[in-house]
Amino acid sequence: MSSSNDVTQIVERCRKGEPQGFSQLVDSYSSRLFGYFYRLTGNRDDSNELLGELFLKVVEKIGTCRPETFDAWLFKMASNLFADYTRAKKRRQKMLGQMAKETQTETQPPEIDDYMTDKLTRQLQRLDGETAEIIVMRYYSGLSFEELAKIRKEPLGTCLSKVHRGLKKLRQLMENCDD
Amino acid sequence: MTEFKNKMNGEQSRTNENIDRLLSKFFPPDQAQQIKTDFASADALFEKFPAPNPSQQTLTDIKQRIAQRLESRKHISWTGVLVKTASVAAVIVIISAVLLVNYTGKDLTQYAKDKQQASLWQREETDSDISTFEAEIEQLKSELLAINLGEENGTNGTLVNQIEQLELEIIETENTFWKG
Repeated sequence: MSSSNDVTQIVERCRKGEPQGFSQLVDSYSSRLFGYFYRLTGNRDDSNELLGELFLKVVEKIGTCRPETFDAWLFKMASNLFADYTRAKKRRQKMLGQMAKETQTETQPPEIDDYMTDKLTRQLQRLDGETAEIIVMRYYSGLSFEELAKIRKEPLGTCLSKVHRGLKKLRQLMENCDD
Repeated sequence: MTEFKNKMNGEQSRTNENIDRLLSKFFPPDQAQQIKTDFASADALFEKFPAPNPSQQTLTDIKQRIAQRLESRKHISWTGVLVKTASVAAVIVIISAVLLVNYTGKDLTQYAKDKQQASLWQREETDSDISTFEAEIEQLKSELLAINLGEENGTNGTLVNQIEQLELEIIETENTFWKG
């Protein structure tokens, strides 16, 4: 994929229900989307699952997007999916915690596969969820700050400040970690 | 070109973004410069630690699932068209039926009321006619009986009286005629 014209053409093909269009879409976007999910979950399996789920959602909802704002639409959907994932994970952990209390056993370890994730992913996990998400979104969606502010429904200045503060914190974490 | 830059390849929005102009809108020049430097070092960080790519197997699986979903959507869309058509037809039939009942029903009710009134009126008229005819028949019967019996006064002697009256009139007329 090299230009917005190409994206428009691919999206148009997808809207016609052409499997080749979707195939092109997967080839063009899977790397960035996988990166986005992986940085946030720190888990390959979850990222694979989220990636598959996202593309199936794209199949269902491609008719509702405007080709010229496809990237923003796609990453907004990815963000919503990640929010669902986070909620489900919290519920699961809460439930496991309660079960562990009742049975007086130890809770399961966190689902992040620490031994495989890189240093950057691990430090991103240490940031608060919102900050990590906005940074990762910025770097994997390729959206401008203006577009980012729009899909997050917050003022442009706020969005800029959040990314900047988050990046400063991330750099500190990276410098201070022992790895 | 690094993996990160490859990922960003084709991202018109971000690459075309004028970060200097954007930062100058919100921050004083020295701070804007610092922020720009921080952004650049973050870029370098992401370049240094590239995220892994999804496996080829994952992508193949996703494509297969998409193809299956598209197939099922085709089937669903045909079924959907049929269901929608049937629904629309059913709605049209129901609306027609409701309209038919409302409007024609009103006409029929009015028609029935009119007919009922007319029949009541006709019934009253007929009843009075019948009673008149019955009375006349009764009178004729009694007069006939009186005539047959040779009574001068039948039931009420009307016919005999009339005949007599008529005969008197004829005689008087004849007399008047001959007298000139």
